[in-house]
Formats: sequence, structure tokens, C-alpha cells
Amino acid sequence: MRITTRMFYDNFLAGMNSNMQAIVEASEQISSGKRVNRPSDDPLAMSRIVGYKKETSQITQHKRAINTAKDSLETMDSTLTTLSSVLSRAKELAIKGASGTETAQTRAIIAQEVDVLLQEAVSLANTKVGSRYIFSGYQSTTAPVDSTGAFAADSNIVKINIGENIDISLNMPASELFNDATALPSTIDTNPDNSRYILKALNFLKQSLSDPNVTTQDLQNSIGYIDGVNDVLSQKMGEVGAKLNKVADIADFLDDRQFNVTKYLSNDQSADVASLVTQIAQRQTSLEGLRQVTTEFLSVNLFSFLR
Amino acid sequence: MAISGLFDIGKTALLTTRKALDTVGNNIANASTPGYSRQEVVLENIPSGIFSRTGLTGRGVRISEVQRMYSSFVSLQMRNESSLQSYYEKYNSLITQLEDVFNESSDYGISPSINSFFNAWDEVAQYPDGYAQRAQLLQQAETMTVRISQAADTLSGQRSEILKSTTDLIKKANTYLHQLYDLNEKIAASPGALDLKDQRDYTLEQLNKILNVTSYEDNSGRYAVLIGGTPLLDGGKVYELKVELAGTGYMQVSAELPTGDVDITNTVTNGELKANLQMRDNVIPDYLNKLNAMAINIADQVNYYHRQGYGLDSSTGNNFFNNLSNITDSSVSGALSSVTIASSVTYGLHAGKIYQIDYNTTGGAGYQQEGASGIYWRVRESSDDGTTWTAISTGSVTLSADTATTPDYRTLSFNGIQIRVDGDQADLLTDTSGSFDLSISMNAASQMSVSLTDPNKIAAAASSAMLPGDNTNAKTVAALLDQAFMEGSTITDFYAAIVSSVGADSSASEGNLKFQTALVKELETRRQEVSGVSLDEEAAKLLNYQRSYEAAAKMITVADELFQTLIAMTGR
Repeated sequence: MRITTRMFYDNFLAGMNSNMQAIVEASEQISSGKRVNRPSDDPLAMSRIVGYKKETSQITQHKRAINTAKDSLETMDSTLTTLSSVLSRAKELAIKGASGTETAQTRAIIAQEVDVLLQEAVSLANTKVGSRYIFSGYQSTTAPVDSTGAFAADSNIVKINIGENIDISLNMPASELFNDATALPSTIDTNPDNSRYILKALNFLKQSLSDPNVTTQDLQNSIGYIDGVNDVLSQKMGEVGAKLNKVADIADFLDDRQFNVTKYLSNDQSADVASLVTQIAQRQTSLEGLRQVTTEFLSVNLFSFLR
Repeated sequence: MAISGLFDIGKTALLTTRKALDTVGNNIANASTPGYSRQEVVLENIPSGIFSRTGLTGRGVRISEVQRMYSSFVSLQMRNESSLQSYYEKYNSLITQLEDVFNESSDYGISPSINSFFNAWDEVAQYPDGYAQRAQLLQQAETMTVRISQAADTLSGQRSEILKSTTDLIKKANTYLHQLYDLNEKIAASPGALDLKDQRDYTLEQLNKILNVTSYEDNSGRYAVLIGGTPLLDGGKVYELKVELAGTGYMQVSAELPTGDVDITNTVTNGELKANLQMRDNVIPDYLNKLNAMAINIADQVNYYHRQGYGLDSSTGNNFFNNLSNITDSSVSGALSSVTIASSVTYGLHAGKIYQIDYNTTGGAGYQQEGASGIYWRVRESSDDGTTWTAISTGSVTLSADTATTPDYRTLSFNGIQIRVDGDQADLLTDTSGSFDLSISMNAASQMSVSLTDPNKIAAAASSAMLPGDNTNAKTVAALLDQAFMEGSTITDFYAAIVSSVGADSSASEGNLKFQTALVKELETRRQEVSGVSLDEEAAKLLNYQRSYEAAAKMITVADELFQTLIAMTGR
């Protein structure tokens, strides 16, 4: 084979170019921290990366939804807890009122305290999270209990997604706990609904205590009604507690999932800096060798020895 | 032989060696000239023609020829392979630009904007009565449409850039053709012009890098240049190339023959020109169509659900995005209750096309029957200017009917578009005929925009009675991100497929380019082996000829001394 001067130049250029290119690629990966910097670096990994990024963004979104759900449910939980102490106090007052030692006058004083409790229960029914009432169904800007004590909103359940195909209800219609759409009566009204609705039960107690002609039976009934609504309340508190547990479980699951997806993403995308640095060092060594050999070789030819 | 013969021999040696040194000098001077072929003198003995008893003696030396060290086979291979190499080189540089459009390694690509858009819907589902969330949704929608339309605009921009570069390329090719013509004429006039032959081969190679021409040398030593059987340079005539846009919007390359222009677009198979043709009229339109399909499907789906919902102001039937497809009932027909686009995947790039779909109960050319119902359907498409109608053959239209639901519906698939037409068969039979038009906006992706401006009109609620807390419609729209409404895949999967297909294309072309570059380098080595100048070799030759020159000079001195001796002898 004839060797010509151009061959050396060409080889040197090609070799230098390919080494430089490898160094540039490796340093790009180091500086971006990414192994895949454009689709052609690894087309399949890139398409998986698109998928993982979508999943990460969905998980982040679901976590936001979980915070929204927590806000509502925790507020509801504390509202119901307060309501539970309201009922305990009401029961104490009911028992006190039913005892034979009380007169119509002292009962009227107790009735005043019961009225305060009733007002408190109404304002608890009108609890808001942010600007939204949590007991008013879809009518989130309407107070669920109006001035007459009647339920004035709707009984729809607001559900949001907190995971793929997992939703959770944010609210509880006041009609399941506080009152139906009828106004609170101003007389003693013996009605089976009194043991279903808190406002009705409290109102019955208030009416009984303030009526001088109340019967012992009514006073006894008021205790029964309060026990009745207490059962309903504990059931609801149980439901809210279960929902909070569900939210916490899903949050844990999402944390796990996010950790995993981030790991997959990193497997596909992250650059292996240690090996890249080694690669660069290797390339630099061969580049140095190439430079030295070439310059030494090209600096000398037969002409140097002619005189 | 006389002593004076020695002078002659010495003289020929001096002159020939001088000439040989010229060649060496020229080789050294052109060591780096591209396309230069090393020249070598071939010396020969000058026979004396005088026969003596001891045999023939020569009368000195002369140059029999100056050889151009050249292998036509390697040159031919080089021309073909470097033509392919420049194709890959150009293709690779173009696809790299395309790749940048679909680069999802950063967090600012198209796909994150799609995710954010649907997340914003989810946020509205969480706070259906929140103004901030609604405003944020409009903002995200805006960002998404901008990303998608920017991508489409970049692709279209790239197409017009390629057209410009093709025009320049064709100019360059024509310049080469004229250069070849000039060189042909000069070489025909003086066949020994070695340097001109080098130049001609080099020019031919440059022309081949633009487009793959074939060539042969005719009897007069001229090169004829052809592309796919069409002459470009023949018998001392140049037929120029030109490029223009055909009616289809695609580039058309033709040769201007005296008998009229000949379309040679399809015979260009290699070279930069092929890369331009391929990329502009094949690859980019393909991705543009996919992007359009994505835009139109997102807009259609979101609009479809959005129209069913209610805004905070109780408004309903509003489109969220501007309408990218349009359905009109050209002849009023109460029998068709609704027409919806189920999915549209591909459509002509130059469309603005209108499709007319009609039915009757009698059938006819282009009609096909819906099951055994007695209803016949036909799909016609308009010409590009919308003046004439052509029926799409029944083989290209898929018709399937569903009578299990109320109302009955049928789906019609043609040209990658699938539409669903609702209407009871019985009603249609009574009605006997009807038709509607369907048009899809061309360049849907670049025209995609948000038509809603008032956040209160975002339809989060499924019913006006349930305002403001109803979030069911917002949830439905948010869930579209996981729905497989794009050719059976989700938006993310559909888009990921585009990204990986661009990536695979680019990565393959990079591989091809590397391989081809190595091949061309190998060929270049082989050419250098024959034609290249080695400075060491030239130095050796220089030395050799220098010594010859010195020796010849010495010989003349000796001859002179011989004369001196002779003259001195006789002068006594």
C-alpha cells in the first residue's frame, strides 16, 4: 500500500473529530445531568420519559387534590367533634331539665342555654372551607341552613379524583345530619325526625324547656332524641374518619409511586457522571496521543534531511 | 559514433531531468489540492537507429508520456458513495432541527403543557366555583395551544427554508453543469490537459453530491451527464435544472429540454437534493399531519364535552377551543339528529377540503348500503378549489351501523377521518335523502387557539341547576388525559410515539451517516493510494532527478574534456 501525506492529515482529522465529539457529548450529558438530551439519543427511553413525566405530573396533581380533600375533611371532622360536645352539653341540660327538682322558671333559664347551643349548631352547619360551605352540596355559596333552621341547599356529593379512578367526597349535605327542608317549629312537635336531625332535636329540647305546660313525657323524649342524633353523629364521624384514613393511605401510595416513577425516570434519563468523567479522561488520553504522534510525524519528512 | 553524440545524450538527459523535476515540483505544490491526481513522467530511451556490431546504442533519453495516476473505478465508486453520504449528511442536519421541535428532555415541551392543561381542569374540578382556578385553566390552555401551534409553525417554516435552500442548490448544480461543459470543450481541444481532467472529475463529484447523475465519456473525450436517462449535458449542450412548486404544493425538479421540461423529481435518489425533497415533502408533512391530528382531536374532544356543560353564568353549548372542524347541514334534514367527528387522524396537507356526505334510499354510483337497511351512503370530496366533487370509491369508505342504541348511528371512515352520524334508520327511510358537509381546517395545529375568554363560561357543571358546586363535567374533561381517543391510544402515548419516531429516524440517519462517512473515508484512502502525493516519495524523486541532472552535467564536462584531449593531441 502506498502511503501518502494526505492520508495522515485525513486520519488525524477524523480521529481528532471523533474524539472531540465524544468529549462534547459526554460533557453535554454531565452539564445537563441527563443521559437523553434529544429523542435520537435513545428514542425508546424518550418515549418512556414522556410517559413517566405525565405520571409524575398526575401524581403531583393528585397530591394537590389530596390536600384539598384533607382541608375539607379535617374541617368537617373538627366541626363534627365540636358538634359532639354541643350534644353532650345538651344531653346534660336535658337530663337536668327532666329532673323533678326543676320548675318552669328554672327550665326557662336552661332553655336559654339550649338556645345558645342551637345557634352554635346552626353556625357549625354553616361552616366554610375557604369560601365554600361544606354542608351545602353543589350550592357551595349558599348557607345550608337558613334563618328558620331549614335546609336550604342541595344534597349532592362533590367528588374529586385523588388517584387514577379513585375519588373521594369532599362534603356532606346538611340534610343528612342537621335538618331537612322544613323550618324549625316554634311549638313542641313530637316527630320521629327529631331523633334524625340535630337541629330538630335541639329545637325540641328548647321548646319543651321553655313551655310551662310541658309534660314529663316530652322532657323524657328530648333525652331520647338527643341520644338518637348522637348515634347519627357518631356514624357520620366514623365515615369522615374512614375517609381521612383513605386519603392518608392514598397519599402514602402516591408517595411510593412517585418515588418509584422518579426512580424509573432517573434510570432512563439521568447521566452516569462517574462513568462519563472516565470516558472523557480516556478520550483525552487518546486525543493527546494522536496530537503528539501527528505533530511529530508531520514535522519531519525527507526534506528535513536534504541539504 | 562521434564524440559530439555524447553532448547530445547529455543534453537530452539535462532537458528530460528538468522536465521531470517540474513534475515533482508540481506534485509537491498540489499536495493539498482537492481532486488533484499525482503526475509521473515515464522516461524512455531514444534509439540511435545505427546498428553496430555490438548492437544498438541509444541517443539519450526522452519523456514518453506524463501519466496521471488515476483509477477511474475508485473515482466512480467515490462519486456514488459520496453522493449518498451528502444525502445522509443533509438529511441528518435537517432531522436534527426537526428533533428540536419534539425534544421532550426539557420540562418545557409540548407534553408537559398538555399535562398542565388537564391538571388545570382537575384543579377546576376541585374548586368549580373558584375564579382563580378557572383563570389558571385558560392560561394553561393558552400555553398548550401556543406550544402546539409553535411546533407546527416551526415545521412549516422549515419547509419554506428547505425550498429556499433547494433553489440555491439547483443554481449550484447548474453552475457545475456549465463548468463541466467548459472543461469538456477545453479537454476536447487539447486531450493532454491532465489538470483539466482532474478538475472535471472533481466538478462531477461535486455535482454528484447534489444529485446522483450518471456519466460516460464519448468518442470526443467529452463527458455526457444524465440523470435517470434524462440528459443534462450532452453533445456540447447544457440542459439546465429548475425547481418549482407543483399544484400539490410539493417541489418539482425538472430539466429544461428543448422538447419541453422533463420532471425528474422521482429519479433523484441521492445527494443533498434528495434529502431536501424527502424532508420537505415526505417527512415533515407526515409529522405535521400527526401534530394536526393531535390538535384536532384534543380540540374536538374537549369541545364536545365542554358544549354539554354549564358555565358559572349558566351558559352552555360553548366551544372551549376554536372549531377546527365544521359540519354543516347543507340540505335541511330533521332525520339526522347529530353528526360528530369520532376521530380524525390524517388529512391532506393542502386541504381546506370539503367532504359532502349524503344518503338516499335508491343507491347509485358511489353509494353503499348500510347493512340491509335500504339506506345508501356516499362520500364525496371537493377539488382543492372546491368547485368539483369526486365520489370516494366505496372500497375506501368503511361503513358500519349500530342499531342497538337509540337513536341508531353509523360510523363512516374515509381518508383517516371517522365520523359518527346519529339518526334512526326508520326516520332516514321516511326522509329518503339528505346530506351534510364536513370540512376540516388545514394546518389545524397552527390554527389551534382558545376561543373562551371569560373564565365564568368554563363549563365545569353538568347541569345549570347544580351551579356553582357541580364539578362533574370538569372531572370528565380532566379524565380525557387518560382516555384512548387518539387512534386507540391516549394523547400522551400518541405524542410519545411521534417523539420516539422522530428520535428513531434521527438516530438511524446518524448511524447511516457514520457508516457512509467511514466508507467514503475508506474510498478516499484508496484514491490517495493511487492518486495522492507523498512528500517523502517526491523528496526521493527530487533527489534522484537532481543526481541525474548532476550526472548529465558531469557527462557533458567529460565529453568536453574528451574534446580537449583530442584537440590537444591533433594540435601538436
